[in-house]
Amino acid sequence: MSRTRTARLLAASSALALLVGTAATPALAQEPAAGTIRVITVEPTQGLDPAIAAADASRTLMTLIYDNLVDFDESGALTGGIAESWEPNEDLTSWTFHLRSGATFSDGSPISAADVVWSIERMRTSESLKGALANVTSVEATDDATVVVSLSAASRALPLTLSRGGNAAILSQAAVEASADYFAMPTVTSGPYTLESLAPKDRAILQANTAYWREGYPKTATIEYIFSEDQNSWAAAIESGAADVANVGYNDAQRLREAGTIPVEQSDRLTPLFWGFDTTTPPFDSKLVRQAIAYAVDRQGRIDACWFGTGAVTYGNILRPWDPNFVEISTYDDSDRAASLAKAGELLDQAGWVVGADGTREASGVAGVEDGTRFSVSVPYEGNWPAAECNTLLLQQTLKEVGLDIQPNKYDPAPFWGDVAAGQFQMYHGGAGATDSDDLYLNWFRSGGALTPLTTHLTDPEIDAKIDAAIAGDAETAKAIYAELEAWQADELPMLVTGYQWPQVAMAPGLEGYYSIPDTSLKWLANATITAP
Amino acid sequence: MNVIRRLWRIRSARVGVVLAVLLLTTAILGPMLLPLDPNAIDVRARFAGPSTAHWLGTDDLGRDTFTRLVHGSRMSLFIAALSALLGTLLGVTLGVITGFLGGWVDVAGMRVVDLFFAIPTLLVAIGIVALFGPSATTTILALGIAYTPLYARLVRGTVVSVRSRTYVDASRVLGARGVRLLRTDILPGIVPIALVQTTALLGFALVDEASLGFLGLGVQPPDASWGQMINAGRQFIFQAPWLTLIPGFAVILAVFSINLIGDGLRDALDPRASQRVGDT
Repeated sequence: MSRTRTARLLAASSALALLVGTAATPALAQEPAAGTIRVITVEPTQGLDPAIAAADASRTLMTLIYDNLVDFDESGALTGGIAESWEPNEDLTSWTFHLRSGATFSDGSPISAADVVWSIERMRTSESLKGALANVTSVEATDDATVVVSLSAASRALPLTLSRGGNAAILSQAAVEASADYFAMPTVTSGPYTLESLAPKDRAILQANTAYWREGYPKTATIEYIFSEDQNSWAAAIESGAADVANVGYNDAQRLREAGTIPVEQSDRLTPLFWGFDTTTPPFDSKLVRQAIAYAVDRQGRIDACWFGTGAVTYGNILRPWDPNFVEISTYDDSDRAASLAKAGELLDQAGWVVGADGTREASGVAGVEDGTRFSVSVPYEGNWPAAECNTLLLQQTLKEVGLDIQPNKYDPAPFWGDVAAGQFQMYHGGAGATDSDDLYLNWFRSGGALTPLTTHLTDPEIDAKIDAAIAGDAETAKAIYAELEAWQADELPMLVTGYQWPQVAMAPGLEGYYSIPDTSLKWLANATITAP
Repeated sequence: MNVIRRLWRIRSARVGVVLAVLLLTTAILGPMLLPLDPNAIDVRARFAGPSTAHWLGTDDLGRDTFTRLVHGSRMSLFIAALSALLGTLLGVTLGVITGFLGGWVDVAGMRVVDLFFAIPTLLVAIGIVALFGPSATTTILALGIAYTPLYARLVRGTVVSVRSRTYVDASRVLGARGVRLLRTDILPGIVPIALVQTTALLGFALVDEASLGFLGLGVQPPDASWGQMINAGRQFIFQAPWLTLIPGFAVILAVFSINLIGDGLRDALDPRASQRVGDT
């Protein structure tokens, strides 16, 4: 798609979203346009319970069937969801949400203030949002269309938290409580689509929610959600007409762009790639070891070899250069590679990992490790992510240069994130999306954050307090705190971010109106139409 | 020695033997002679074409394709040989026991074999790999076990046929029983068929190792095997088709040579065919 066309599309959609977000639109029973959009992607391996499923594999499907109080427009700005509008009190310790009149669940029952209160109460105790909502003290319905959320401390991030695709779902209390197995097959839902069937290892069929509050949406009647663990076949599926939307591999994206027959959209949202560590046990309980790895990894090589030149490199920051809270850190700049490797070697020596007879480092005076123990670590990566495999193989070779033995471990993607959360890995490959600095630090660094158990594994009251202060403060205060947090994480390295990936979404030529926001972007299929080529 | 001489007289078998010797030499000596590390990455030399530095070019990570092919040959042939050997050991044991003892042992053993026959060999192997996780050892075990029913059925049939031959009856009359009868009269009778079958299994095992590797269930990255190389090259089939074609060609060549040897062995061991060997 040309830039001009994309710009027009974005402008038209912004206007549309503005209208939709601000106008009260009573729900009408409606007949969506006919047609089926076939999405090929990974299976929702963590299930469909918003309280539990934090991995993107589940969240992408959940965004299609569950709506939030607050949503994003295609430019990334917050817009109305089930809440038509919202406002804080003066000191940001209370937020009032005005619900859209006439919004209903897919069975036609109204989305009441009581449902919203119950849903937020459920989020507060959920694995996925308990950290981000830790400062909520009460949730009350002041009338049928107004919900007030009170906080123990000021926060401007509450609407952002309540926009978290999939996890901040507004659920029907009656439907959930009616069945103990509700989340195995949730059919009474608030999103643009309802789940008609779900066959594990095969596909899910979603039908348009004809009671959806956005008049005229979704625009396509059916979504066929095809599960596939082989990303290498997804581009071919689009080319052969077997699928209409897929997040294709980077080599395929490059090839399709060059061929010019299949449009490929690239998103530049914040999607850090990282190496996760178990910082509670040797060898990664040592900051020196983590820093040594940060010096030794080949950051540009990762982009060139595994992401085919797309994405970006970072040498200490997590936030991107165009983030308002970005203050550049270049601690691990490896433009002088020999110097970086030498520095890594020094740090490892200091940490007590000395070069052994065969060139592999061995423990010598490392607390909790018997002298002579080789530095040999298995590093799992998701087996259905080719770029992750490439990155881990590259890690093995680059760390070999400083005497560290890394064993790439192609891991079954289904239990991968569950095993990460259970702390089964010493070191692992990871990547996920975040909307901005508030979202990133709330959900990756704060105790109980949605992704904290999968990324930093932190439970640090001091860091929590800083994050709370950042989201409570004005822009200047937030910028200062985030600069401090960025510097802290670059030094401490609870996880090692080496850069970002920008998802490449290939679309069948007949697909119109879809915007490729990464990870949880499938919700925009509600805007899309498909025509036969 | 007669058999080897007769085998060498068969022109197609000679071609097979020469190819197999070349492959085996490559697999055994190649990794020791080549200077490059098969897993060494050179990001700046990705997808390089053939050159004096990289005879068959490089892959997506800049690894030398020829070096990986040679190291992969060792892994692929090693897995194929051990799988075929395991299948032979298990198959011959089961086949001899059931065929020689007969009765309920035969019935029970063959019904188990029938059960396995209902499932395609590769599917049995995939099931075993799924159970124990992919690795070279699991691949050997999986293929060896998967080949056992076919082999057992064949050997059992041969044993049943041999044990009712006149010379075996004569041995019995002279007092031979049990292990002695097996060792002196029955086992020699199944050697020709076992040799041919094991050779055939070797070919199957090479293809099946490649199939498991292609499905990502064989040797795991970064180690190279031909199947794993075909799988890894698949994602670049449009940009660099040679990454898939070269290991694919190696599999074809190896299986071709083994099949030629197998055909030759069959002819060399068959007394009727051996009279025509000179004309082949």
